[in-house]
Amino acid sequence: MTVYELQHRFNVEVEKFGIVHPVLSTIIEDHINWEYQKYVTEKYDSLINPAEKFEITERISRILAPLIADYNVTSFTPITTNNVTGKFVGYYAAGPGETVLQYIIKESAVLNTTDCNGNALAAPVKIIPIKHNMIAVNLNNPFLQPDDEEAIWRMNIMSGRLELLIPYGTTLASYTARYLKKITPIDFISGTTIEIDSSVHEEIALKAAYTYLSNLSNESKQKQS
Amino acid sequence: MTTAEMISAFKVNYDIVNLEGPGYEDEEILVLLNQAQILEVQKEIQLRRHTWISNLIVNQLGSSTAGLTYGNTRTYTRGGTEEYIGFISSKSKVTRATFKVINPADWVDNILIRKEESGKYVNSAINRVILLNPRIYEDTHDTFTIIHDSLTTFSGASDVYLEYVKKPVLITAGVDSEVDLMLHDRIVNTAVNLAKKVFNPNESSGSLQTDAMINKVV
Repeated sequence: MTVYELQHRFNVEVEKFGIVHPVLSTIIEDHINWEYQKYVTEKYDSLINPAEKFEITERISRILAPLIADYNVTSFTPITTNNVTGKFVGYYAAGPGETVLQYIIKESAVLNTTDCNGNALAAPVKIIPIKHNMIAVNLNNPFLQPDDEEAIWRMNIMSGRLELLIPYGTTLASYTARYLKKITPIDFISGTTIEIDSSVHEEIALKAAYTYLSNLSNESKQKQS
Repeated sequence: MTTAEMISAFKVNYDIVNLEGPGYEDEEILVLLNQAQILEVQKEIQLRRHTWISNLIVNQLGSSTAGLTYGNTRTYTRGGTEEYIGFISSKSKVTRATFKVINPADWVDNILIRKEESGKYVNSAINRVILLNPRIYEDTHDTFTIIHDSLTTFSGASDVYLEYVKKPVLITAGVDSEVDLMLHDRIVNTAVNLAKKVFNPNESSGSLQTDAMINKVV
């Protein structure tokens, strides 16, 4: 639905309950954005509703598909604070940006390393997202620590950056991720509408209308008491 | 009823109920009959019942001009010499480029709103309105303001239709009432009630609606 259709649907719904004058469009925007974020968060997060989590069904996968974006980077900045000489070195990638990045759902990297003959090799490796406190725990575990044949570690750090820990003696050639991006709020002036699949737009507009009506009802009860 | 018959009916009715009241000259009775006529026409307008006042209905097709400096508004200035006393309906001929597209131009109803509510309908930086039907309100003397959304366009040529109730001509010795015969008895009765109120303001007219309207007039 376009922003015109969303606003019209909201107005039609509240008119059924006797709200004949138009609701200020900024208020409609706020209510729809609130319901939009709630709707998407529920689909992201299995803790809220395990039956609705991301990719559990084809339908939910399709609803959220427009929020999926790709990120690729070949330039990295060293982080010295997490370097452990002889074990691994740290780098960070700027990431897609904290205003955009919500969750990473798939990632991989390529390391510049050498094969057993000492020849240069670009080796694709898996990424293991780990908790910060697990760095020290797994530091000396040869089966879990980063290596150039299996996997390297990734953690989330400030400013939307991605910290990558790779084996000592290798360098990062590239990092690729696919992620769910944060929603862009709808904006009646610029015409930015809901990004997720259009089949649920009406549901979101109706939920926003009912929240608005419910708030009105609560306000009226408070005035009476 | 002719004017003479109305005056005669007034005298009969007034004498029946107010033998002790003051007498009225014909000229005074005409003043009361004209006041009563306006009251009865206003009642019909309020009830949206236009059958008995159909002689007073004026249909007008005109052109709107650019309106206020803010929002999306048009101004329509009523033509003609008749005095306006009540709105019946209005339409605008518009095109819409997107969202509920109207192209070529077609007529849509204008919805009457009160002037003090108009701010809620005006397009602004913080309130972008969607109005499939433009809104119209009675603005200054003889002008109407039409509010529309940013997607609606008026051509400015024969794009507003207005239907309203004009003020009836005064009942005089040579001019009979314009309204339907069905209203004539009511006009006489209301005129009698007005006459009774002149010397006894607390006297009831027998109708709460007439009382409320008379109290504004007397």
